[in-house]
Amino acid sequence: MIELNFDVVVIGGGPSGLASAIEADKECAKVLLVDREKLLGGILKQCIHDGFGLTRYKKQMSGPSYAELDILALKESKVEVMSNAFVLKLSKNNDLFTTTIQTDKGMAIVKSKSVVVATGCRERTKAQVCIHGNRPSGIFNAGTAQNLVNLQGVMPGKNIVILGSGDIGLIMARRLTLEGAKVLGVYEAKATPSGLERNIHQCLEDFNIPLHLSCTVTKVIGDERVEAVEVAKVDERMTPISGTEKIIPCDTLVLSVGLIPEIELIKPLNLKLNRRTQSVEVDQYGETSLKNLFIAGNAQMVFDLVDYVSEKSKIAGAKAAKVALKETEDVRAVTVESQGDILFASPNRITLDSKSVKLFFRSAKDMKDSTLTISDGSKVIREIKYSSLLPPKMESVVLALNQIESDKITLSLSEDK
Amino acid sequence: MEVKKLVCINCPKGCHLTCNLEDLSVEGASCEKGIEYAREELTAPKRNLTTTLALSERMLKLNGRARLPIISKEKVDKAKLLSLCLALGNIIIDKEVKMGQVVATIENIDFLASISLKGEENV
Amino acid sequence: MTLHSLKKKLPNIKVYLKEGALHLEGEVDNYETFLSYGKLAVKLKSRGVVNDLTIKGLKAKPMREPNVEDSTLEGKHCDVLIIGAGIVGCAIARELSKSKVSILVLDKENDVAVRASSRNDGMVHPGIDIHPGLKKAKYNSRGNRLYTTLSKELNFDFIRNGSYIVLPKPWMKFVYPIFWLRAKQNGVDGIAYISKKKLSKLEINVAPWQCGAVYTPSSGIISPYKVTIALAENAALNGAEFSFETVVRGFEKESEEIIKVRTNRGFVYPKVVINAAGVYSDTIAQMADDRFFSIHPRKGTEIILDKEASSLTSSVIAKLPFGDVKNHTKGGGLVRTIDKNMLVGPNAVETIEREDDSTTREDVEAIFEKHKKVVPSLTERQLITYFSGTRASTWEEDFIVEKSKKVNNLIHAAGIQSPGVTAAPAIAEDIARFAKEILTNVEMKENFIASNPYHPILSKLSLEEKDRLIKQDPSYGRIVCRCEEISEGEIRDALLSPLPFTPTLDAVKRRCRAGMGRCQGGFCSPRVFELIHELRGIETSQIKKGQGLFAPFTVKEDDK
Repeated sequence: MIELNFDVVVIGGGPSGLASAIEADKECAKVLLVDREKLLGGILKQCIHDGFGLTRYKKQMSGPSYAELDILALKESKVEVMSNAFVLKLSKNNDLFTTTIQTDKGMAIVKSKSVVVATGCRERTKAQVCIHGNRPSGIFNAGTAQNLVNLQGVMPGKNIVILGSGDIGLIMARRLTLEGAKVLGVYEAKATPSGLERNIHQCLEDFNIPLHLSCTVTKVIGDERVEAVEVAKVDERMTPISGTEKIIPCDTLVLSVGLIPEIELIKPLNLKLNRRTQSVEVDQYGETSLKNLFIAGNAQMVFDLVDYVSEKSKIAGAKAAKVALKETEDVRAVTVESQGDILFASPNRITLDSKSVKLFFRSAKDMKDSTLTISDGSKVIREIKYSSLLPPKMESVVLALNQIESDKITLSLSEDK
Repeated sequence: MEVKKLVCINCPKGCHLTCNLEDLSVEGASCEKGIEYAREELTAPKRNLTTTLALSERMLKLNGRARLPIISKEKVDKAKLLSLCLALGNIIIDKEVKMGQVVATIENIDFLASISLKGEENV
Repeated sequence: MTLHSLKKKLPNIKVYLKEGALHLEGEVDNYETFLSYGKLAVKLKSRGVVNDLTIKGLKAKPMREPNVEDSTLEGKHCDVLIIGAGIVGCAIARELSKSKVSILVLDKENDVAVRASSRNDGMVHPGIDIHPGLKKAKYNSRGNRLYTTLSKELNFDFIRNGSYIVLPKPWMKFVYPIFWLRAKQNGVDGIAYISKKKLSKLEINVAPWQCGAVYTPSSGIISPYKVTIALAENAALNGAEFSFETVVRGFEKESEEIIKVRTNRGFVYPKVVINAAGVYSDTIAQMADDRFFSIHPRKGTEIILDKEASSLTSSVIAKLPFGDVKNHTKGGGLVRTIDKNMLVGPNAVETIEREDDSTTREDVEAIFEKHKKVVPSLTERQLITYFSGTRASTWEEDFIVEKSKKVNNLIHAAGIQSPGVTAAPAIAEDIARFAKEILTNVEMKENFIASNPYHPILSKLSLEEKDRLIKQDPSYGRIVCRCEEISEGEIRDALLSPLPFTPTLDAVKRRCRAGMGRCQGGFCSPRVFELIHELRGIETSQIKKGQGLFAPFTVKEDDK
């Protein structure tokens, strides 16, 4: 069993972990990056479609290319990497974190001053969206299907129904079609699509794949293998409407019904949770309610673009390094509250130690001509107008911090009358 | 006057474009690329093609991957996406590859490797 | 009730006795009538009710048969043929493998424990809620005790975590002596009455309306599929042979003795045949012309909650099922499994289908509603998944554990429903004894190996133990199922087992729990799929998830 000491431990070798580790190294911290897979890159390894890097590199590239650039930068750095290494436990005693890691060379106990959790997301399962019926083979989460197609070269099926119009579902609709399958339709329980508009266009419209809104899959039918699914219209509360059921013959059901931040590792630490993001409360650096514990990337909240993940993870990595190397003084923080049609906003608190902060938010519904009002206590300090807001698209606002007087900032979003 | 409404797919902004079908003038774009996109979309729509190529057993053992992700060097005719993909299915890569290198050419369309792979042990 | 009075109550139905069993034939209008006639017929107290009534417009699906036809078993001779590799069949095989007899176990599924044996709550029941006159009571009592030794021999996890039957009304505590008496009759040790005050301290999540509980400390939990696998592997280790995807199609008899068994893989020649065929045990009996009972399937659905919910209770909590006792169903409850998930349920729904594993939204909602009354902090948010299984219930609602009275070399371990898991070791002892009586002059083995070879379960080891193990074998250091912390080495151990089951993703799941966690195989299934290909050499297009293929095509495959 080996015992090691580092300044910063980064858990997860996907785009978030890579960016955090590289930046922490730039700050001259001694960094360990732990990843449970054989190859770095996280989920990007299987995201072979383009659309990555437009903001960061001004170039459209595929997920693996985006990851490769970070991996090359990592190789140039002094970051130590453990692959095939799984973190079993994270704890804090006095001022030190202990990360217990299972690797194929033995167990490792690592002590560090700060930790960045970059463990990504998992997919919501079919039981969690109340799909019933038989239990045949042929039901896949979109991410699992993507792994099979892009990393192993096997197809989940030939006649496919997709539930969920999130980006992963849309991307897979196109991917499966390109590889010779027939995608019979994409069903979405909400009244509006969950994924980006451009994906609706280039993944569904391009291939004449119908999108059925306000519809869900209620049952799977089939003995050994999926033979059909039952779909039904749903009401505003997404409850199936009796009498609208239809049977769609198919051999595969692909589910793209939401991502859940993977925070099991830090749940035992009793951090302040954020129900809206399904994760934990953080400040603009990604620091949680536990000092020197940072969370970055999709584990913090589900991002729509990896470029933002890298941007925010760099900030987390840099801060994690700084706090590990030097004692920082306690700085005043203000809480951030959301009101009105905001699905969620991040961060939940702002540490007042910089000139400005970038706030991110998602609208709760499709909105035209709306106003975001930012108030410092009761005083309105900013108003921004938007001609169009869509939930799948994360928006950002840069806010100057030098005039914040109260201890609460409120973000309020509503459609203009 | 006939117009067609489009959403630009070039970047996350997703500008809503309105294109006049007679004179091909475009409104709603926040950059040149949007205007170009709208015109092309209405006359000869093109897309990037991303897919994977098979790797040999040897390459799988060396690199721990069974497939090589690739991307078309330039956008291709939208109507050719499926046939190109089918044609690419017959290729197996069995040597070193550098990110950005041309690894296949079908109907004069180049496809680039998205990542680098080693071809020999101890590189 | 006489035959005459029964016939009067069932007009237009052919009612007759044959070889002591009561037969019902004819057509009824609906399923409810089919059920009520069957239950009525039991009152005659015949040897057994054979309800062959057909229902207008309703027909059960035919038995699902394996897609295999070959001659791998053609000409096979054996001393004992066991039909059915559920927990009962495998327990019998293991028990018999202590003797010098050749054993062949057949199952039409592609692994052990595919049906009811992997679709129950894993309780080792105390037996307090069984009518003392039933065979169930006797076998449950003995089986419950046998688990102590069996778990040590086969090294499976078994905890006696106790069970509470919560009383909903204050006057019910005066009913306690009835429980006490029942406990004496059924051989249940340690029964105690827990006061309202004490219960609220012991089980903080129980609803405030509780008026105390009846507590049985001998109640325990196991993983029923893991136990079945352990029994099967031990039987195999001691010489028993198994053949999966093998269905029995008929018997050939000579002077009331089975001499030849027709299967989809050839003719088998056993000296003794044991019927442990679960929901199809009456079908097997029919093939031997010895059908004196019939199975009316009863489906049950269970809900699995996240391990986070395991703090709701460390035991089993159920409300006294006053109304349900008459329906021969358990009321169900909350069961904390051996793997620290929480199970909620089961319900009980009569059905004509014998192999129905489907679930419905209504059933799941109803189960939550019912048990929230007992544990109000129960929430749908912790739901991971749900599953169903079908009980092999006879009309008498009791076990059939006996030598056939008609066929000299046929033994029935039929109609085994709950508490089948608890009773299995005891049923096995009796069935093995019957088989040896028929065979005569059977010797015990001197070299019986009571335990299976050790296979590590990483998540149960200390850090130092893990470290040492990984240094010997790095595959134990590579985690494949991150939700349950299952390593590549453990999956390999499961796939290289001597039992000839078909290596499917579900078979790996039953052995290692890979895929049973919160992501339900989302992350690990591609890797398990790869490992099955790498370690067992099966083409990826041929690998199954359970009964159906997982990912049958490669990319860009032409339409066939």
